[in-house]
Amino acid sequence: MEWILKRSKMFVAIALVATTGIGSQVVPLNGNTPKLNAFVNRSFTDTRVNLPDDCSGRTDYPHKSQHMPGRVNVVAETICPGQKVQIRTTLTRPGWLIFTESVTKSKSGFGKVRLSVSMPCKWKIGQPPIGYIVMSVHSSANGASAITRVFRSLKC
Amino acid sequence: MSVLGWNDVPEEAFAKFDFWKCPTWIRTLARVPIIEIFAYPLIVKKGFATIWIPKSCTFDTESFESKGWNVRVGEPDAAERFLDGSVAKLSTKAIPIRPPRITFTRWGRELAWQKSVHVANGTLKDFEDSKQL
Repeated sequence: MEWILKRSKMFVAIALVATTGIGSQVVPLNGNTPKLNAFVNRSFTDTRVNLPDDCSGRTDYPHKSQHMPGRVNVVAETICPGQKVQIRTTLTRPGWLIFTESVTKSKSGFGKVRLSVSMPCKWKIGQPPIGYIVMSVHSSANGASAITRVFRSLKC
Repeated sequence: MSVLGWNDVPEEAFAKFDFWKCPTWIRTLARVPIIEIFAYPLIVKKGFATIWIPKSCTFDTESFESKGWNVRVGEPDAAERFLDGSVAKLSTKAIPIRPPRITFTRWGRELAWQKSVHVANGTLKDFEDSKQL
């Protein structure tokens, strides 16, 4: 492992040559390649996006339930003061073809609606963490809507 | 095999990788199928990975900091979560989400989904602008 890590730059060079046909998965080598400075010190956190206080939706990170051990749980909410709002949340544990498992719940309310979705854990000792995907559709009575999505790996 | 940052992540914490702060060659490595796995230990060791610990949990933070993790308590702020796609403003201009094309790496998949969410919410410009900084 250490040997491989120390030689990762060499691996990158080899992999680039070997996989230039992969398309969007590889950084384009042709055309206007940005200068190195453009790649370094860039961060999503360097910008501050002002989120308005009015209508918003959020999906929290899935986590092991503390109230019901042995289950993975996620909370999502839609806030829109003075309006009827609705939320539909799907918690998915991806798998091959028919083995994908998901739970979907919907809820509506006035001003603020909060929804909790859970499913039983499946992880066993010795296995890698399992990835969980949560997607929520938030909507309000005036026709506005938004989608939020979260991915997290859990030993659950 | 346990690989730091790939499948070796503290159980109760949420791990976040600042790919855009990493040198280009590490980001490239993270977008090459199969060997992407080797990018994650490098990201952690170079200090570009953060674990967010829930306020309700008690952690031996030193053991994680010694591996290279940045340890923070709570969860990312609203601006960061907006860019991740887990917080959004409701808009009448929103369109149904269109799932991304087939992707081959974990980071590539996340980027593609983030972009799809922002396209659906009509906030793609904010997302793209954030990468230019």
